[in-house]
Amino acid sequence: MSDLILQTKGLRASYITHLYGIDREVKVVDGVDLSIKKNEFFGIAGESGCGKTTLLKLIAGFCKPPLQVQAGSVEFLGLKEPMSLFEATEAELYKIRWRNISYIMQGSMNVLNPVRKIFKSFEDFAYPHMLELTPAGFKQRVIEHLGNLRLSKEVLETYPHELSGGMRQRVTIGLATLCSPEIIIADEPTTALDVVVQRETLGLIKRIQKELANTIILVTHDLAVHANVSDRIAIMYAGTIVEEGKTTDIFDRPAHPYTQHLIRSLPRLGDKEKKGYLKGAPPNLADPPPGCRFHPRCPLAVDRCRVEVPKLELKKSGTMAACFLAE
Amino acid sequence: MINAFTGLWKTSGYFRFGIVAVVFAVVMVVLSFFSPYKPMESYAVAADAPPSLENWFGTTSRGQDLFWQMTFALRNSLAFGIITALLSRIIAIFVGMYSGYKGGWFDKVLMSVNDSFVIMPVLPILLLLNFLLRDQMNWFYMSLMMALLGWAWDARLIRSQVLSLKERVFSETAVFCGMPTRKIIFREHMPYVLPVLFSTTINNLLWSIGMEVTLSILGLTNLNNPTIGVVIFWANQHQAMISGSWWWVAAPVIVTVFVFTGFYLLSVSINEFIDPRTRLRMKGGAA
Repeated sequence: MSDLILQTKGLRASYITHLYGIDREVKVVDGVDLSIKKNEFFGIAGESGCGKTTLLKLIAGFCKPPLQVQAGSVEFLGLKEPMSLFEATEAELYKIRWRNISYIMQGSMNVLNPVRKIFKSFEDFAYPHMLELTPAGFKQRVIEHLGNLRLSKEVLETYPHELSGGMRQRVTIGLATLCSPEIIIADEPTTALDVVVQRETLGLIKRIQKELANTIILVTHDLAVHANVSDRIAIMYAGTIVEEGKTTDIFDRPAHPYTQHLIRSLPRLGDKEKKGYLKGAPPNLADPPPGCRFHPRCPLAVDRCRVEVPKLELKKSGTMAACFLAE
Repeated sequence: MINAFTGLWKTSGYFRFGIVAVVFAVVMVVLSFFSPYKPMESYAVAADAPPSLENWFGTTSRGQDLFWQMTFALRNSLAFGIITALLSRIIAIFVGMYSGYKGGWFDKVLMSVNDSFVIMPVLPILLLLNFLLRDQMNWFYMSLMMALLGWAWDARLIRSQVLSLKERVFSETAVFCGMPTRKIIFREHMPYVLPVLFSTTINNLLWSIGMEVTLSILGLTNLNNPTIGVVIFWANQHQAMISGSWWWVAAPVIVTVFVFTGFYLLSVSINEFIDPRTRLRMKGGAA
């Protein structure tokens, strides 16, 4: 028995629209293989528009038009039998959602319906998945759980706008962790917060992860956050994973040129050197460049990079990188 | 509930006015059941008497007491308006919410039906139908007809709200949690749509009664059943304005204006009360 909890194989998905005879296909996720372990804090980093959120939606098995899966699979391995999320029926998905996989969506401050009291949101979202509890038992459970997150039970009778951003964030985290799911998927959970609240929130997520010994998949473009909390990270560029490995390895010995530039661009204490930058912009995903998607901006690119797509391979540095030139 | 009532009563002038008007309307409706005269009974009192202590709203040229006639008129008009508004709300809520939420071909089909109703010239159609069906026409059929013609604008309004709501994170989370569509629509989105719904209900009530008045003044409804429009029709028939019995026109107009202003203000104050954003505004926070 492996210690994996979730695995994607050759995942490929696009946003496909047809309008007035114009077909548009935006290839947002292209050939992603991820193996996520039990009890790990897995980070996904990348710039805006590189497909992070889409990848998360696919991992959550939450895919609706115009997003279409074209190839590959996502398997959830937390049950007795591996479960393919794209082949499962709605009823099967319903069973594992929130119980086994919960998902804090981007803009997590707005997960709570602004015109419903907090407890109503708990009832709407979580209670159908915890029907073994009586309504009173459920309320008790929610109160205890929020107490763990240092929220008083009065919070339950308020509307979201009456809470501060940090409190709302904690309520959202409480909502996502109430059923102790094996996997918590969090999309930019700290983006709208200042660093103090950010630190507090991350500490909370980390603590919950330790207590529940579950897996957290965290997406953010903020590498400092990853450096703080993630055990392993994957770097995404234009819909593909360009590098994946232990956080320390990636920060110390990045193998892929994109990662190298990314890490080099981070400010460090006492560092007076002027930061360099890469010319150009990420490619248009409706018409991505052939070969390695990074080659138009890569200072090291050779002819091979323009034709062939590099595979993610183990490099000397100890990380997996998709680059012909890295050793 | 009682707390909410006393709170609103203390703080909102709109609410007080609204409650007074509603109480007035209810009293009128109740009184209609105790009227000493039949609704259209002629020469029961002295004809053409101006308002006095004995005949509060005056009397008509046909010897009817306008106060008692108005109790019937208000009862019939309100019943007509409320039934119309409720029936058309049912259609508008279902079409607007489901079409906005489901999208795709479902939305396309419903909205093309919806738009056909929007562009239909309602008044000419009503005139024609009333003219054709005059003998079978009663107030219930008429309100059914008006409801069928009066939902489309509001359905579009509701749909536009839902279009924005369904893209929000809480809606997506609800979908992810496996909440059934019906629950998402009625639990998560309904509270948002409710204020709009209240004001469109009042609008629809006013619109349908206005239409009924128009049709009655043209003599196209059952003229032996007093409604606000029918009272005005008979006043016109007897040339009340020319003969100087202004009270015959004034009674229905003033009662209508009073009751409907009251209804409107009541709906405004209740809307403000149920909308949690109001609390924010009251405290001077961002809108």
